[in-house]
Formats: sequence, structure tokens, C-alpha cells
Amino acid sequence: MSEVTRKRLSRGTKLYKEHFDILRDIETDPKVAASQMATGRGTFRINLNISKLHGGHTNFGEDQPHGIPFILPPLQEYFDVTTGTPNYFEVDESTPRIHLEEVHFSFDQREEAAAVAGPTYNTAAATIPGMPNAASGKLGFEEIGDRYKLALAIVEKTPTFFSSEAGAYVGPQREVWSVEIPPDAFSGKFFRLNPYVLTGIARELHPYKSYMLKIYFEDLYETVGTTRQDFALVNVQVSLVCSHPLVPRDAALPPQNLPTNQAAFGTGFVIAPPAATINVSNGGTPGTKIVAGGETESISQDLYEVDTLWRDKFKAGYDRFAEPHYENSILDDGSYEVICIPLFGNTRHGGVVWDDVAGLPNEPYWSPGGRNMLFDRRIVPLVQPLMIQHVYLAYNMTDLEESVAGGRTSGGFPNASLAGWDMEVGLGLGTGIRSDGIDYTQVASYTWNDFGGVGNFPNQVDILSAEESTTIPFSVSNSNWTIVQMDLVGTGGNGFFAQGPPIFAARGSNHWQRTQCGGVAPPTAAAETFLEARMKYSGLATGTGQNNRVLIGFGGHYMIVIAKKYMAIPRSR
Amino acid sequence: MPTPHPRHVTHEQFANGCTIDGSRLDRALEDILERWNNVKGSDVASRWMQTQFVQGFTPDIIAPQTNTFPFLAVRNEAAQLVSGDADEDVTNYWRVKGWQKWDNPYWVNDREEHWTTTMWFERPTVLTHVAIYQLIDSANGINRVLTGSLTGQRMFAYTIWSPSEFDKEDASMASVLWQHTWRDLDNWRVSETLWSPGAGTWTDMSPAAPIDDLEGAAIEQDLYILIPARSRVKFTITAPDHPTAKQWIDRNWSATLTALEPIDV
Repeated sequence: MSEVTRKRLSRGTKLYKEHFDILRDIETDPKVAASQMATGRGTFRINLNISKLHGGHTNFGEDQPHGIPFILPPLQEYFDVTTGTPNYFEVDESTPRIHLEEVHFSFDQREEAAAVAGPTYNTAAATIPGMPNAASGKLGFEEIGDRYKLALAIVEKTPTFFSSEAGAYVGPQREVWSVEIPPDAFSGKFFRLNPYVLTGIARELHPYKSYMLKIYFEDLYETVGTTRQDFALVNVQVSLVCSHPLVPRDAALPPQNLPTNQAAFGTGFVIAPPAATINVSNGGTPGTKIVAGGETESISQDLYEVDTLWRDKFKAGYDRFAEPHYENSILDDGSYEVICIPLFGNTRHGGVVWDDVAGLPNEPYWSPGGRNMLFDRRIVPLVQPLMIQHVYLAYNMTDLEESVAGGRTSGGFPNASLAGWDMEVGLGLGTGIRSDGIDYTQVASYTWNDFGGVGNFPNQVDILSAEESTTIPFSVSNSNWTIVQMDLVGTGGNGFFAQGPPIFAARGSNHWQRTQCGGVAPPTAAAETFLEARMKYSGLATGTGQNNRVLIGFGGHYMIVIAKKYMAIPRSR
Repeated sequence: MPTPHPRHVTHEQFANGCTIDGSRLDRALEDILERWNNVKGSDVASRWMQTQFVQGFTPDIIAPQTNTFPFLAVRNEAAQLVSGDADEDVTNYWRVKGWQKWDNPYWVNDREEHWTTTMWFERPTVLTHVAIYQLIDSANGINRVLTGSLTGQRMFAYTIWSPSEFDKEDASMASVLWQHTWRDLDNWRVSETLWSPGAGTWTDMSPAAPIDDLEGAAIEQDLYILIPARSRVKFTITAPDHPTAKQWIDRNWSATLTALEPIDV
């Protein structure tokens, strides 16, 4: 039952049973919907971690911003995209709206009012430097000045997926929000605004648009005489705090690997608290003596019964082991979650270019054993249950300044099809850390082995450019990000491209076995304890005539996991 | 002073000997209706949802490394300045409290390094979990320190701390909320068995890792740390340095801090 109404009492009115129906209604069906909640919104964060940013990091200008794209499509149950010519989306009143509420921005200043020297500090400006540099990471008190004069912006564009002129427009179409951060915020000896926090932003984000966070730091880098004055933003942490309406947990599109103890999924998890006896509403017929208090059948006792609901507080959601609360009384206890997982985020030069004969041997998995391979992995613990809805890869091709044999001749996409190499990326559920019961269940994957030029990514949702250019339209060949969908295993789900329904993930016990996942019984049963993201380039070889084009852009890639999350009760008190 | 009544949803009290007129009943019912149709966050026990701060990287394998970003030296001293006066300008000679043990043989020449991430919590929050995975792959060059036995290797420290509300930039005044230091990494192995295909009957995911034997340390702990509204929280991983060989940071890093935040903005 959601909102209630009642008949008002007035002086001289005889008391009838229906005057107290509100008590009976609440007590016998104490279920709270999102519309009854004061706010009815859950919060989530887009947390982006960047190991290092420094001036002159890119090959297209020291005053260009660094950008990281993301998309926030509706949960699968609300996802409404029709493919055709062109593809189109539908948004109606039932589509949940996401609001950007706060932005937090921080970086490591070594707890001092100083600027941190970058990887190429004090190196010769005339040549592309070889990193590392012994001055890196040291403090410059005198140089801080305007070094940390920063700006942040979030810009929006329509994904190329929806464009009839596919791939034509890579630049932003709207600035959603921006702020200029004065350098004084980071230069005070006794008080600094690091993290820099902005609240009350309240901007609506479109469910089918793509976004890019831009970080401007044009004063970090300067050439003094013949040397570089290169300063850095080290370990940048950006938190975009957003809100999303609370939504039902028992979705219209249930997950494919539902725990078997929740077989009633779809009909509702709600288990109402024991209903109390409402005396007046049940027995208070006209003429019946109404007792104020002190007896079992009294007004006071009735109010006590209702009051108990609030005293005990309303409960919902899952515990850490995916057990629904036994007194679940909130109908809408789910919301939206985004997990951004950095991959290849801190290579030696900040990125990797093809044919970098000097740089590649410094990357793991390249030289040892002659593997000619690049590999990275992240492990993310599963703490509270999640229902994974979509997985995307934000693939970075931001050109970087790097010393390579023969010098750089061009940047951007690798421009030709090459046989014999693969880029693979995957997300799995894992179990077995600190145990001997190791297993993985595949959640999503993506493979690609044919650059073949711009727009040749399978499952491409969008192409974006962080570069700011006076040439309109921006050059697609110099666009530096693309977002691709990594299909969830299975069939019958909703997404930009065909994929499986949502996948449930929680650190339960395998006492509650999961049903099918991607058509097979999941090896992790119901006991997964972590998510693992892996990315691998294999079959690579140098000297293949790729003109040093970008393989991993500056700052690396991000895997974006979109999930539904649930209310939780802290573990202990 | 009036005796506080025990009711949550209405101020109206009905007891023997008291009046029970329609106006009072009406107010009581109206209070209940208003409260039921506008349930506040404080009425909900499970008004929390998780958020996760994920970070990590795999460093290059060059040796020795001088560029260790995002790890930065633990002390702000003269040798760590490219400009300025160590006596006049430096305010925090030591950047983080409590991590160092005087008899740790791996901490030499004060060349240790901190990897610090700063977070902000606008509303009251509960930190519920911390996980640091530092994996090695000795066959592929990601192997500093953790090859062979882990026994006795106590070289890493992990700290969650919050600057003082009254002196935010004085690290010596900060509150250490959780710290894990001087622990033998042998007690925190990823697994007692090797995670390599063929080493057991288990299913891998794709893409397959190019590993021969994967091991390392996995520090995972449940937390219950209450964070007041409008707080800075810092998460620091401290690694020893090595002057001549590959860095101690030479491993595959994944670190995640999990928090429960209230649902209403």
C-alpha cells in the first residue's frame, strides 16, 4: 500500500469505524513506495581515479584538457531503444532521471602548499623527453603561483549510435556544468580547498546522451629558457555525486542468475511485519464506548501499535550475503550504481604507442618471455549485492608525447587492419581469494582485432573528442575516445546491442545456488566475492608501419559497470 | 518541564481521565497520515547504499625507477624540494601518522612512499570495507619482493585517516581511523594455491591472464567507521623504496574503499 487518505473529523461528529481506517490500512499493509519517501532518490557516485596528469602530456597541445567520457543509460528494465535507420530512443514519464548533485575534485599535494613536479620537470624542451626524471614528485613551493589554476567541465553529446550521419560529430553539443577553480584554493599554507567540493548542482543528465568530464590545467606546464617547467596533478580523484529515483527491486526484467532462495522474484519480496490488532478500527462500531488509554482496546493502544512501526524503523534491501530483510517493508529499495575501473591507467609514459621500441619493453608482459603482450587486471571486492545491467569500455586514444624510435609522425587511430593481434577485455565474477575454491563466471566480454580505421569498433556507442578545435566539425580521425558496449552473456536482455539480461552478483554462500548464467550453471555458484576486469593486447609486434599510432591513450581506459544496487543495513552497531 | 512523551508520529496523547475530543483525534490521525505519506530518511533503518572508490594500476618494470607516480616520498624535506625553503615553507615533515615501525628492516633511508587518495563525504557515511590486492607474476617481471616465501615481509602499511576538523592542514593533528602495518604478508596471501590453469580444477574467465603463477597479497577487512558530515577522508598505501633495484611498488595494484552513504540527497 502506498499513500493513504482519510475522512476528517469535525466537532460533533460521531466516531465511526471508517474514521480510523488509516490505522488499519497502515498496520495491515505497511509497505512504503518511493512516492511516499521524503526524497525517494538514491545516490551514486561516478568515481574516476587518474594516476597522473601533467602539462604537455599530449601531442595536441599543452593547453588542451584531459577528458574522460561516460554514459548513464537506463537500467535494463527501463531501457527503450529501437534499432533501425536511424536508431532512436524513447523517454517517457517512467524513465528514471539522473541528477548531478555534487562534484568533488582532489589530488595529492603531499600535504603542502606546493606544486608537485611532473615526470619531465627540468628536462630539455627541445626534445621529447625520456621519462622518468629524478625531480619527479618533488615539491615546488615557489612555483605554485598559478600552476593549479584549474577548471572542470561536464559536456554532453548525442551518441553516434543515434546519429544518421554515423561518426560525423565527435565534439560536445552542450555544456552541462563547469567551474573555474582559482589557484588560491590550493596554495594556502594553513588551509586549502583540496578536495574542492561543489554541492547543490542539480543538473539533469539525459539517459541516452554521452558525457565527458574535462579537466583543464593549462598553466601546469611552461617552457623556461630551454627547459620544461612541468608540474603534475598526482592521483586525481574525481567524484561526481548523482541521484537516481528509488526503483523496485523486483524488476520486470529479472536477472538470469537469480539465487534460488528468491524464487518468488517477480511477485515481490515484501514480507510485511506482523500486523497488530487495531482495536478501534476493528471494533469501534457506533455506540461502542471509546476508551482513551490504559486498556487493551483503547485509542492509546492503537496509536502505540502504529507508532511501533516508526520506532522499529522501516527496513528493506539485502544484507551482505544477498538475503532479503525478513521485515522488508519498502517497495522501492533499488537504485543506480556506477563502478569505473581504470585499466592501463599508469603506464610508463601515461599511454602506449605502436612501434615504441624504446618504451614497450618497459611494460609488463612485453619483453619477459618474448610475449609481445600487454595485460592489466583490476580486482574489485563485492561488498553489497549488485545486479549488473550494462558494461561499457571507454577506449582511450588520447595522443601522448612520447619518445619513440624515428620520432612521431602522426597520432589518432591505428589506421590499418593487421592480422595476428587481438584486443580482448572481459568482466568476471570471481571467488576464491584467500581460499582454495577458485572459480570465475564470465559476465561480459569484448574482442577486437581489426582497427581498420575510425568507426570500425564493433558495438560502438559513441566517438568523442576531448580536444578543442577551431575546425568544425572536429576531425573524426583525431577523436580520442570511443565507448563500446561489452555484451552481457546470454540473450534476451536490453541494450544498445543484443546482450543478456542483468546478472546478479553477491557474496552469498553456495548454499543458495544460482540459476543459469549465460546458459550454463555459473561456476561461482552463489559465492562470488569479487569482480575482476581484465584487458589484454596480444600478438603485437613493433615495426609494423603503424606510424606510432596510439594503442593506449594517455591516462588509459576505463571499464564502466552500470548496476542496480540496493538499500543496506550497516553490518554492526 | 513537561515529561517527554514516547510517541514518534504524533504529539497527541490519550490516557484515562483525559479528554478525547474529535479535534485531538483529528490531529493525531493527521500527524500519522503526514508521516506515512512523507517517510523521512531517519524513519528507514536501511537508508544506506554502497559506493566504491576503485583505483589501481600496473607499473612499468624498468629498474631502478625514479618516477613512481602516484607514490610520492613520505617526508617533505630539503632533498624533496625543487624550490623553496625546507625550514620556512614545509609544514608537514611527515605526511602521515603512525605507519612507521622503527625496526622494520625494509624501511631504509626514509625512502618510503605514500600513495594517497582524498575523498570528501558531504553527508554522514559509514566506511564498511577496505581491500588492497597486490598481485605479482614472477614469470613476467612483476615480482618485486613477493617471490618465494612471504614470511617476514612486513614492509607495507595501509592507513585511512581524516584531517582534524580544526586544523585541516596539519597532518600531525589528523585522526587515524584504521591502520594496517607491520603485518606479515605471508598471512595475507591471495591464495595458498597457485592461480594458474592446470593447477587445479577451476574455471577461468576471458581473456585468460598471461601468467605462469599468480600470487601476492590480498588485504581485505570489514570496517565500521562512522564518518561525520562534511569530512575529508584520506586513504594511504605506504610502500618501501629500493635505491638500486626495482621498486617495491612493482606489482599489480587494485585498491577499493567501500562506503555506505544515505539515500536522500
